[in-house]
Amino acid sequence: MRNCLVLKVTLLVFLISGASTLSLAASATNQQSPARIVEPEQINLGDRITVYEKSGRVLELIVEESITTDQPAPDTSLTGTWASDITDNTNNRVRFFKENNKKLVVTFEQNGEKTVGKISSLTDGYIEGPREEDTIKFIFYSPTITNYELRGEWKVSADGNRLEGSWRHPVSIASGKWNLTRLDPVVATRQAEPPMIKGKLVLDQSDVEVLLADIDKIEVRHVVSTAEESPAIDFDEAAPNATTSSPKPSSSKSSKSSNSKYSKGYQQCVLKASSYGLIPIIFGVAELGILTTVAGTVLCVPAVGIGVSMDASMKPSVDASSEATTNKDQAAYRKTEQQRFFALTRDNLARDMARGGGEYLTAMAYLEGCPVEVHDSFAKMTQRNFKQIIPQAEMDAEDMLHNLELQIAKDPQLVAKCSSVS
Amino acid sequence: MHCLWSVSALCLFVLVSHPGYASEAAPSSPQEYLESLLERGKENQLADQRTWQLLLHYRPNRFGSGVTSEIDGDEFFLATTGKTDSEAELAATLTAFFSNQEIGKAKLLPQCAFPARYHWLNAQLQFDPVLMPVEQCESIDLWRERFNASSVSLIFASYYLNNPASMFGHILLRFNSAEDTQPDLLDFTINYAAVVEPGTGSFDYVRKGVTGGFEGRFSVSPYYDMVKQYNNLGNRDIWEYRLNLSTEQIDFMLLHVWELLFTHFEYYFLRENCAYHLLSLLEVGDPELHLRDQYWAWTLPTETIKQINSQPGLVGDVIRRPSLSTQLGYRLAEMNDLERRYFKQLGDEPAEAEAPEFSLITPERRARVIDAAINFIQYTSYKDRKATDDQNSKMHALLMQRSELPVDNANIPQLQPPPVSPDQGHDPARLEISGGYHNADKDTTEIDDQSFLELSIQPGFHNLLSSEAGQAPNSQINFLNLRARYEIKSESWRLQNFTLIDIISLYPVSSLIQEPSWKINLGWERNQDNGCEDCTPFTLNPGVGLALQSNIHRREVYFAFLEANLEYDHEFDSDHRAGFGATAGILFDVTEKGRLALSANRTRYTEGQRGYVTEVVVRQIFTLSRNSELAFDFKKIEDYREGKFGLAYYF
Repeated sequence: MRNCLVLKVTLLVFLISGASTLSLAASATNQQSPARIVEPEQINLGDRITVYEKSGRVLELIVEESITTDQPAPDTSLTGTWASDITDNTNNRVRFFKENNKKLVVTFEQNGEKTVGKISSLTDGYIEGPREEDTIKFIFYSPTITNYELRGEWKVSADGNRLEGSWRHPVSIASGKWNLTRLDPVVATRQAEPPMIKGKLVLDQSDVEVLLADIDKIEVRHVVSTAEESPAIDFDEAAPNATTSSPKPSSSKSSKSSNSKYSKGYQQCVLKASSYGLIPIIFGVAELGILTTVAGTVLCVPAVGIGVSMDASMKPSVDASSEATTNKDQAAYRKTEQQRFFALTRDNLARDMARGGGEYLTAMAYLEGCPVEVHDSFAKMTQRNFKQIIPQAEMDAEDMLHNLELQIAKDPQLVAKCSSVS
Repeated sequence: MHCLWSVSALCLFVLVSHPGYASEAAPSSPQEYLESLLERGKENQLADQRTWQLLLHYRPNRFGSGVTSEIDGDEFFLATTGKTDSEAELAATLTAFFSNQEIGKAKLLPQCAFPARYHWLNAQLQFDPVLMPVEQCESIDLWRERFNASSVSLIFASYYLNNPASMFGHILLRFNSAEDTQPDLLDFTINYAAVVEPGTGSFDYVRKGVTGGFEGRFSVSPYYDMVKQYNNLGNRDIWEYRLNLSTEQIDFMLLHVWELLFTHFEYYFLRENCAYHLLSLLEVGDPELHLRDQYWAWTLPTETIKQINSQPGLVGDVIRRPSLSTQLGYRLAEMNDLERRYFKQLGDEPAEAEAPEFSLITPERRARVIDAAINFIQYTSYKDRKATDDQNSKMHALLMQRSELPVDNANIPQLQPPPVSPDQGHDPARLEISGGYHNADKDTTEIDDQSFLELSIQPGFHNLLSSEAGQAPNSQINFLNLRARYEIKSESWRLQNFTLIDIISLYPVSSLIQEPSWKINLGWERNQDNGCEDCTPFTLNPGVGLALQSNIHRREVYFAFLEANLEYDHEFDSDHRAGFGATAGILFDVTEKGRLALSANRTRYTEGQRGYVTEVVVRQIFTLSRNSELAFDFKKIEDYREGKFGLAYYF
C-alpha cells in the first residue's frame, strides 16, 4: 500500500510538472475534451483513446482492462545466504562494522510477513523487518552489543538476488550503504509479462491488445473521472508529450487506501505518545485538571522535521542521519512537513477551507510553496472546491491532502506560482 | 557502558597529562596545547564566570560553600565530579574537545555534543584549529537550519476555565523563523516538561511533583502542535510576548538547548518547573539578565511573565490568541436574537441552513452564524476528547454549507474589550489589615460590643472578589492563609483561621456549555456559632453547585452549592460534627472596580454533635490599584455578628 501511495504522488508531481510548462489557454477549452496526449498510466477504464504505434498503425479503442504495467513478482523469497557490502560515513567509527571488517554474511528466513535474518558470522546478531512488495524495512540488533540497533531499508532487485539499501544509527549521524548479494543466486521462475493495454476497437468492437513497448503516443478523448475514483487522471491539462520517461507501474485506481501514509503516521504518533504517557506537565498541582482533560492528547514530539525524537526509553535522540540524507532536499522536507501539518491540524484546516481563509490555510499554502500574493486565491480556491477536497465526513487526512493537491494542480495560477507543485 | 568508558578514559587522560608544566614556548603538540589551555582557563578563572556557571546550571549550595548543578543526568558531565566541581568540568571539557571519541547516547563527538560550551570557550581562549581540530557537526548545522531563528517569543498559556489551579499557566519559547513569510504556526518551540509515566495516580503525582520524582526534559515541537494542545484542546488563551534578543544570543540559546536535549533535570513543580528553566535559557542567551535569583520557594509562570515585562526593553509586541470558547463568546455577543436562534438550531440540525427564513439573513451574517456553529462543535468535540460520528457528520454538513457562502470571515469582530494581559495582574501574596466590631459572645458576661484589629496574610494567590485582570474569572485560589485577631478589650490574640487550601470555581452555565461549579476548603477555622467553646476545629468543606450569569447592571453571577461539612475538635461532643448544607448567593459588579458578594448558608449536622447552623455573609471589595484594595465585611452566624473594614495589599 505504501508503495502504491508513493507512486501516486510521483505521478501527480509528474503531471503537474508537465502542466506548468503549458499555456493557460489549454484550460479554458477543457470543456470540449479535446484530444490530449497522455502517458499510458493516465488512462482510465472506459476511456476512448487513440493509439499511435511506432509501426505507424493507428488504433481507436475503448480501454477495457487497465494496463498491466505491474511486473509480476518473480520468486523473490529471500531465504538463503547473502554477502554484505557495507560503507560507513563516520570514518569507521562504528565499531561493530569495523571489527567485522564490513563483511557480514546474512542468512534469511521468511517468517510469514516478516523477514528474519541472522548474521551468520556472529552468535547473536539479528535482522528483522516486514517486507512490503519489494521494500524491506529492517532493524538490526544484537542483544549483547548495546547501542548498535541500526535501522534501514532494502529494495529487492527484480531477480531477487540483490538487496540494495542503506543503514543508519537512529541516535547519531552514522549511516551508510548496505548492499547484499545472494551467494547462491536463484533463477527467476517467471518472466514478467510485457505491459499492455487491452480494449475494444471502436470500429468493430473486436478485442485488441497493444504492447506498451510498441506505442509511440496515446491520445485521450473522453476522460471518465470523478474526484473520488481516479483523481490522478482528473486533470484538465494536457500531459507532456515527451515520452522519455519510462512508463511507471501505476495502481492509481484507488485513493481510498485505508492504510494511508499520513493517517498511519499520525496514529503512530498518538499511539507512541499514549503508550509512553508523555503528558505535558505544566505546573504542578496547577495541572491536576489536565490529567483528566488532556490525558488523551499527549505531547507528540515531532519525529520528523527537527531531527529530534523520543526513543522507546523516553530519551530524546537525534535522528540527524536520516535527516541529513533524506531531508537535505528541501522539497522532501517540506513534503513531510505538509503531511504532518495536515494530519495534526485537519480540523482547523477544514474549517479554514470552508471559510475561505484563515491562519491554517495560510500555513498550508506556505508549505505548498505558494508565495504570499497567491495565498488569498489559494484560500478562495479551497473554498470553491470544498466538496471535491472533503467530499465526506469520515476521511483520512491523506485523502484530503491528496484531493487538495489535485485541486491545486487544476488551478493554473497556483500551478505556475507554487513551488511544490511545479 | 560506552559512555562511562569514554568518560573514565578522559579522566585518565587528564591525570596523565597534568604533571607537565606549560612551557613558555608556543605549544607544538596537542598535549602541550591542552596544558596551555588548562593553564589559561585557570588564569582567567573561566570556571567561575557566569556564562560557564549558567551553561552547567550550577547554583550556589544553600548550605555551605560550593556549587551544585541542577542537571541530574550523568551524561551531561564530562568529569566524574562535574556535578559539583566547576573547575574539573572545565578541564574535562577542554580535554574532551581534543577527542574524537563519540560520547553519550547520541554518539556525538564532544565538540558536537556541547556546542555552546565550545562556542563560549572558543570565544574566551581562541582555540588553535591546527592543534585542536575543528569537528564538522552536521547535526548541529541541521538543527540551526531547521529553526532558522531570528527572534524568540515567550508563549504563555493562561488558565483554563473552571480550574482555578491552572491560573499559574504554562510557558514555552517559540523561535521565530527569519523567513518573514513563514507563518508563526510553523515555527518551532522549545518546551520543558516533566515526563510522567502512564497510570500515575494523583497522589503520586503530587508527591513526586513536589519532591522531584519526575524527570524534566526539554523537547521540540512545531508551534501548531502547541496551539492545538493549549489553545484548542486545553481551551486556554495564549499570549505571545516577543522578546528583543540579538541573533547571536538566540543562536547561543539554541546551541545550549541542543546540549540539554540529551540530559534531564529533576522536575520540581513549585520551583524548578517550566518557568524556571526557560528563564535559565534566557539567562544563557543574555547572561546580564538575572531572572531566577528572586525565586526561592516557587516560580510561577504568571510571575515570570510580569518579571520579564519589567526588564527594560526586553519585551516587544504582545499578541493574544483567544481560545475556542473565547472566540465563541465573541461570536455570540455580536449576534441578534434571530441569529442566535439559528445558531442553536444549526447545531442540532445543519439542514436548517436551508430554511427560507435563514436565507433572508444576509450571506455575510449567515456565514457568521454558521462559523459560530462550527466553532461550537469543534469546542465540544475537543472537550470530550473525541468527536462522535454525529458530531463529525454535523460538522461536515456545516462546513459544506459554509463553503457555499463566498464570504471571507476569518476575522471575528472582537466587540468585548480584550482582557487585561496576564502581566498586568496583581501580585500573588496578600496582606490585609482590618478593624471591626463583633457582638458579645453569648456565653460570656460581656455586654458591650467588642472591637478588634485583624491581620491576615497569605502567600497566594487570588481572592474571589479581587481584580480579575489576568486571572480566571469568578474563581478563588488561596493557600496557607493565616488570620489572627487582636481583641482590644481583652488584649489577647486569637487565631481566626489557618487555611491550607481554599478554592472556589464558579462557572456560569449557558444553554451551550454546562459544567458544575465547585469549591473546597481545608484548614482550621474558628467556630462562631457556639458549636464549641473557644475552639478552632479542623474543617473540610467541599461543595458542588451551579452558577448562572446575567448582564443586567454590569455582570451578576448567581450561584448555589450543595456542600458537605466535616469538623474535628475535642470541644465537640464525640470530638466532631459532620453534615450537609446548602449555600446560595450572588456576585454583583457594582462598578468597574467594586464587586459585592452576598451569600447565605444553612448546614445541618447529622453526625457527632448535631444541630443546625445558619450563616449570612456580605463582602465587598473596591480595587484601588493593581495591587491594593479595600474590603468591607459583614457576617452573621446564628447570634454572632461582626463587621469589619480593611485595607489589603498584594505583593
